[in-house]
Amino acid sequence: MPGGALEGYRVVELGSLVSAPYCAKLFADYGADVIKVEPPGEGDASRSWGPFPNDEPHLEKSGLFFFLNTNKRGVTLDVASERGRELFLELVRNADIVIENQRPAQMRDWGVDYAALSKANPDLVMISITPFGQTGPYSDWNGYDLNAYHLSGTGYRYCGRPGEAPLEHGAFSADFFGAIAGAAWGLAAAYGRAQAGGGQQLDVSCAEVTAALFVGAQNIGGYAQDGVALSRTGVGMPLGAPATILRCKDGHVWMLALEPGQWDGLARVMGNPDWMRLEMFQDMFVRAENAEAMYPLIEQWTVEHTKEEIMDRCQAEGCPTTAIFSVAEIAEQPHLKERGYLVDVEHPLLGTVRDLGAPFRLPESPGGPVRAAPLLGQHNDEVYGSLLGLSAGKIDALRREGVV
Amino acid sequence: MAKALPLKGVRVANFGWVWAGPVVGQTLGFMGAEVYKIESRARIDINRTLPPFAEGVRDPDRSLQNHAGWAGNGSITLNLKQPEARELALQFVATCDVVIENFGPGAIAQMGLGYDVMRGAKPDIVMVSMPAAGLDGPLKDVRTYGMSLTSLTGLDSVTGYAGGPPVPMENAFVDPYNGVLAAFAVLVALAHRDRTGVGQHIDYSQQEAVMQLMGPAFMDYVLNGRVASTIGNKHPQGVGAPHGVFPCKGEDRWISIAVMNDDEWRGLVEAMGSPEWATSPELANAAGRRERVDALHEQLASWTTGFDDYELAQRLQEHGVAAAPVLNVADLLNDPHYRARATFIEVTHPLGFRETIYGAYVKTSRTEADVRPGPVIGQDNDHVFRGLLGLPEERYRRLIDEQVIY
Repeated sequence: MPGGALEGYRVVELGSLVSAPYCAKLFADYGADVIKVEPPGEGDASRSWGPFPNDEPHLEKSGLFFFLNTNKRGVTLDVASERGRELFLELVRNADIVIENQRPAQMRDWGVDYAALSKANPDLVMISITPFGQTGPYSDWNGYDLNAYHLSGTGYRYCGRPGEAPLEHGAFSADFFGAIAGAAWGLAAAYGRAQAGGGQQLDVSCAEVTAALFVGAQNIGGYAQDGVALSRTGVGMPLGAPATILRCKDGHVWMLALEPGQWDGLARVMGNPDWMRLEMFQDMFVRAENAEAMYPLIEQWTVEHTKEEIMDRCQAEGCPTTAIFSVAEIAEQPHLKERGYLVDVEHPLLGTVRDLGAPFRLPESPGGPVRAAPLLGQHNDEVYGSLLGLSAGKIDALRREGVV
Repeated sequence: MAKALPLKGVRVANFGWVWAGPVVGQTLGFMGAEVYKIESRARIDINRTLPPFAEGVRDPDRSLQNHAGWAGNGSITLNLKQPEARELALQFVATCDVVIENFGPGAIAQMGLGYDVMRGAKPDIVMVSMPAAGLDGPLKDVRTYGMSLTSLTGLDSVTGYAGGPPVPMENAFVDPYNGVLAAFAVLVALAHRDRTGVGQHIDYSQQEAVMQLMGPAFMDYVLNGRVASTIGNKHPQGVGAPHGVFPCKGEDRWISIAVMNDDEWRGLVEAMGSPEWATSPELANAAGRRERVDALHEQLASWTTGFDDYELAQRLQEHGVAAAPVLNVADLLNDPHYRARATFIEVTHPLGFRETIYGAYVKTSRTEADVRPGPVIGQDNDHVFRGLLGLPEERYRRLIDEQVIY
């Protein structure tokens, strides 16, 4: 995208589903020329995952694919064929960065692992994002977000009720975490490759990124020294209170009133009930010890009020309680509308589609989705013709052979 | 391995505090940037006060959980309430490429160190601010904790046992997440600066950045008007079945299993020894499995419960099934995969004790990531104030005595 901050960077994506495509989307949304390579026929598996309008499967109408692939150019290529592999290497010679999330053995079989790609382009930065990484005993394991996420300890330590199953976030959290780590480290490697003496491979394991940065950061030092390993409570913050999710009239709120000023603010909002002045509720630590008695008392009040009302009044009184918004409420939130976070993107089959905008805002070089995700092979002529210089006849021949 | 790191020569003034801001600096530091956290003994960062402490000695330089998240940042001390400290901060910023801050919106401007002032000191500075809901808009002053920020993104509304109430993520997942993504934002702006000569002030709304995790659910709302709710460990698009966490032998031991296609299902059936219930033709295709997902999960749980989680994962993998043990904190340190990848490493802190932190969680094939222990408060004062800024010895001593450098 001209005028974007990353104008001049060319990225080739050999990705499917969530991690590598989201990583490449970050580059595309800030102006890099991202060429997404999909297998002919079905394309990226996320084209088959949906959500689809009216739940009717259609390769060009997947909401997941739409969200993850804005601003990219799309080509089809059978990398498994000899001619396909040659064309892939030709694309790589014209690129700064490759982003992929195939299983390591698959990349070796295709002859497009880092050893092969770096021979074609020594300055190449290759961002490889997989559930488990390129090395280590699980590197050839099959895996998805769910497996990587739970190998990180996130659910066991921090999400779920004791004795019941540890929980995923309800999203592709480990895939996203791997994607952004790959983006940050990969762009650093590309930005500084002249002084580093060339390109390199970034080996990203979604499990490891999450295990290190989240669970490890807060637990591993203490465990290594003292042997104490804590686990989920299902409540929120066990050491201070209130710090939990409570029911309200129309849903739930994240109830937080830890510091004295916050607790006093909550008291004012609730009309200063007498029980809040009891000795057993006088600081956040004592309150935590008596949380089982206290939470029903607060909930008696919250169930009489709406989430927005509770949030607005608490925030106004210095208490950081917030509403737990549903996706529908977020989609209509005046704050996000006023900031222009929600954008409309034109798609040839889906029509005008509301999308989430740029994840962060760069006033001097705006980013975010402008062009819809590509149709399968939409840019074949443009990329193979203009970029690689193949004649129309040659491209047609490749089509007939099923390479493109 | 070459030692010329890609970001060598990039200098960063990190006013960030607690967790997210320091992780921005850490991420850039791993790749060679020279990062200094600016902090003060006049108001010790709350993260330095969190237990457990090295060798049990309560001290702001010994918080173990703090060190992992902060490692890679250097540290200089300035009591920014003092006008002379602000002057020094700006002199330092004038030598930097990047400024990081994660205070509430407007707080740094009130300290006399807003973007305009920073730009006065260094015209092409790249500054990133990362308040909860961005620098403008009706919710800009909203107060959250890292743990509850997700309530503003829709994410909390899908976290919980399927059909039940939301269950909290009991720590600030979003803090390190935003730290890493904001480092990417800084690099994007640096690339733009190098090409155009123009710096900028990045408006990093944590709400908007994290809401991207809700992109798939958002699309279902946009396309079908469907409002996502708690899904437990089920697949966010409902594609995979079975897709969950199942009990194993021992106390609180579990395995994750995700079946996304017919090949993987056949592998699972084979691994189970083809029991009658699993070979029913209704389960042979994805649609049939999705329809019966709850019953399927029950059957599977009664099978997994007799197995050791690690052994079962290995066995299922041999049949091509995506399965992995569900780890706890102790497992993280002992797991053979993380040990092989040196995910967690022991380092010697400048104060002499040994501590375990995470190392380079991304592996680099050419340049060796720069891994350092958590910083001692003010450890780089000499280097920055006397070396870099060239303060004469006498003034430097006076500023320390007057608790300006403090």
